[in-house]
Amino acid sequence: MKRLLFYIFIALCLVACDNKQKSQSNENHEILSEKDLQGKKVATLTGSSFEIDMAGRSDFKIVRQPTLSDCIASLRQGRVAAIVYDEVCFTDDMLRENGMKKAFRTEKSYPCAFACSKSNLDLVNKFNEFLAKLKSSGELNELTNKWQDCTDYAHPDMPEVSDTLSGEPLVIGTSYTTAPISYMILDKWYGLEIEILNRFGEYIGRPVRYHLYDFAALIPALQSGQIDIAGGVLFATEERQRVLALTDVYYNCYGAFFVMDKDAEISTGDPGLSNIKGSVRNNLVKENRWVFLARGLKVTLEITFFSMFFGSILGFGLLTMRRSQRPWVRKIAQIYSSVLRGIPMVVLLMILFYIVLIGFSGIMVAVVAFSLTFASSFAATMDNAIHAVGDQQHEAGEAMGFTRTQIFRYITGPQALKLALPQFKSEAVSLIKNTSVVGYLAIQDLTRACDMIRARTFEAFFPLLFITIIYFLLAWLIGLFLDFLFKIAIKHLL
Amino acid sequence: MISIRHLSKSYVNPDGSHLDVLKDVSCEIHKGEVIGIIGPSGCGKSTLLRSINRMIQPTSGEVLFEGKNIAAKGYPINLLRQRMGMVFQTFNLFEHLNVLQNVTLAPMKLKGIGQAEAEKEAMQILHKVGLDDKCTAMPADLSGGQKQRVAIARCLAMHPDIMLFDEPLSALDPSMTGEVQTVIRQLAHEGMTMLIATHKLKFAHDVCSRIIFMNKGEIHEEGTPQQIFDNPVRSATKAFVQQIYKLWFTIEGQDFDIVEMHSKMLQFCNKYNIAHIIETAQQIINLMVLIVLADYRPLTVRLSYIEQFERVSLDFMIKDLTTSPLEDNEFVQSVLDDIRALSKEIIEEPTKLGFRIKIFLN
Repeated sequence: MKRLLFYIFIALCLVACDNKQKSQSNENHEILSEKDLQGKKVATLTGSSFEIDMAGRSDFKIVRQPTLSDCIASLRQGRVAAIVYDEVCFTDDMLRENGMKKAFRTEKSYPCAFACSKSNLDLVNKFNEFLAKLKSSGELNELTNKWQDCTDYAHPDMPEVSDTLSGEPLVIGTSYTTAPISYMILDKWYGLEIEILNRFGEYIGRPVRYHLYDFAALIPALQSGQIDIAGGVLFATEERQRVLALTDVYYNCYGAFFVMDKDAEISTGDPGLSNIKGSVRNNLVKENRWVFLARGLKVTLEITFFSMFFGSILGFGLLTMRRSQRPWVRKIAQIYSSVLRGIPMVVLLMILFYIVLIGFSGIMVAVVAFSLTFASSFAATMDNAIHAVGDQQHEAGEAMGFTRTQIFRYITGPQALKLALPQFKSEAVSLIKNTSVVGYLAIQDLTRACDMIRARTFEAFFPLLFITIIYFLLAWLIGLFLDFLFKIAIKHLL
Repeated sequence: MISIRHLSKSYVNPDGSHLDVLKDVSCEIHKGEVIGIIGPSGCGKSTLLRSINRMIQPTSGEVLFEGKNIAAKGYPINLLRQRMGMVFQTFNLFEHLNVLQNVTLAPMKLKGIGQAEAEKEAMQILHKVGLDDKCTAMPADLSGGQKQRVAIARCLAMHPDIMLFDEPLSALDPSMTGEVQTVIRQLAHEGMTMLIATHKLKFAHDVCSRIIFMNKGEIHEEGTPQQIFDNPVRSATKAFVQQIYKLWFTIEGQDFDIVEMHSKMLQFCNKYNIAHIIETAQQIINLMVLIVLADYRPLTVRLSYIEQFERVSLDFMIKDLTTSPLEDNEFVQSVLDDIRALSKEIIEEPTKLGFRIKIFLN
């Protein structure tokens, strides 16, 4: 409990630091055009067209960040002079809340299109046909204006989708969770793109489903057939045209440079607790955002527990293989362990999801992947523990006429379990933490839920600290759970 | 009860050469016998013992138990092992179980005896080895002697037909061997068939009804303790049972490293607890090597220690010499007088290879 308090204390300190740094960052000159950025740093998202377009610029340097909230954090801390991204990515409210403003637009606009797999040209043609109609009737303009002018994104004006569509679902993958293009409030998706796609679904008589992916995972998902259409302000670049089938342009997006607003009021006074109160309201209470976290927690727990369960069963099999008297069986177990040790978790997940287990849900694939790695560490841990018990007791058991199984059950097993417990706990804890990479499989686990909240609120730290505390509590609870489990196991063995 | 016939065991080294641990060993074990297996380290006593309950699979040969070859594939070895108790040098108690549980585990799990009955019997056996008040102690809290007695009790709980002891006293403090010896003696008295591989010759002499002396993987000599210890026939047996330890040097020329020789002698004397003679021995060697026998090269010097009689002697041997090298002049004689004053006896004698001067230091 003392440790827990210590962690919370550190968390509070970090929040306070964040606030203090904010006030130090405004010594810059007013930035009004690209000339003013000479020799400065500009943040943007990894993999975005801005990064690709501006990486070679000699006048300013591009700094890559994984999420927009990280960009904002950098800007507020004064590490970068500006953020360059889609013009529509921040609402006025958000700019005001963060003390930012839009400085100027980029010179050129970027055409946005949806992407399909090259083998699915039919769908592209149908969409183009639909889009042409939407354009000619002026509805597309209306839609665009409606969303650009929207001020209350929490209560958008969006027509309900008819639920009578009976065709095969049209699966859309997107990485974009920012109003007004596409964003989520609880389970429901809103935004310009969403409304266009919903209408398209009605047009072809298929219900539309949305999945949230990492940007980097969108293209493999398309190619492996997990999604039909990829969206989310995809710029129609030549490079993409080469590997994907792109639809006609539905929206022209300007980029914009965002900077700190010198005139904005920056909260001074006691930053700590009042800030936390605001953060709690903004990140957890508003729009029932805590539900994301609750669901994410459920997914994280599911993956952890099923992986531990199946991983232990598999690991037990692997353990018997490692301790087999046949050298070739031991060799197989050895190869299995070294192969799994050598593959980064993300790569393993991707291979299973896109190549081996096509058609399985993300959670199932994650459970399989984590079971495989957990089995390997389970077997190694137990094997070491049995070695630590020593050969002498094994020898005594053998000389008394116990079989190998009986020796494990009555003699070496209970002692090995006791020895393995601390290592086993740390493996379990690292399993929980490792599950945070499953976001790649469009699974909304705890970390992913946190990212989604950050994408809406643009607070860099509070959601992270909040889930850190949750992860810490989970690790603590799982330690208690394992203590209990091992006690029962040892009792049961004897 | 057990016949061992032409038993061999060899290991293949990583470099392809063979290491023969047992070479064509045959012997009989009768019911009620207490057999001591003695011999230098690495002579194969432990291997022989472990072949009997197939803890080691022999390379060739047979071990017949009730007329059946236990070394054959398909023999129900676990049932056999339940009838053979084995006591280890390192006790090998089950560390997670208390004394009583150590004793009851096998009867309960292997014979299916109920807990109450198993515990009742275990208490009787623990009483017999003098540990009934320690029944709830954990092995880690016991002394070495107590641990070994628990190990014996653990075997007795299975009512074995034969007990195999693999160096039962070697890991024990000298003060603790007594209690274990008492228990083993008591078992011998009750007629338990036992095979005891041991380094403790006095213990083997006192307890065993028959002694097998093994050397280099073979049974070198066997007989009653009186035959083996008091009248050994073969020289290796004699050297072993009398516990003769030797240190050799050959002095080739004048530039012999006498400092190194003295330091090796010091190590030898420390090892066998005879450091008190080192000074005398060094003086005699200096006088003999540097003065009396200065012209005789090569010269072999041997320091021997017979543990049984606690005798230390120095031999000076010169090859291809038939008469005594001790000249009859005044100077040599005066030096020899000095040596006589330091030692107990000087013997001059010709041998097969040359001439030897033996000096007994005590």
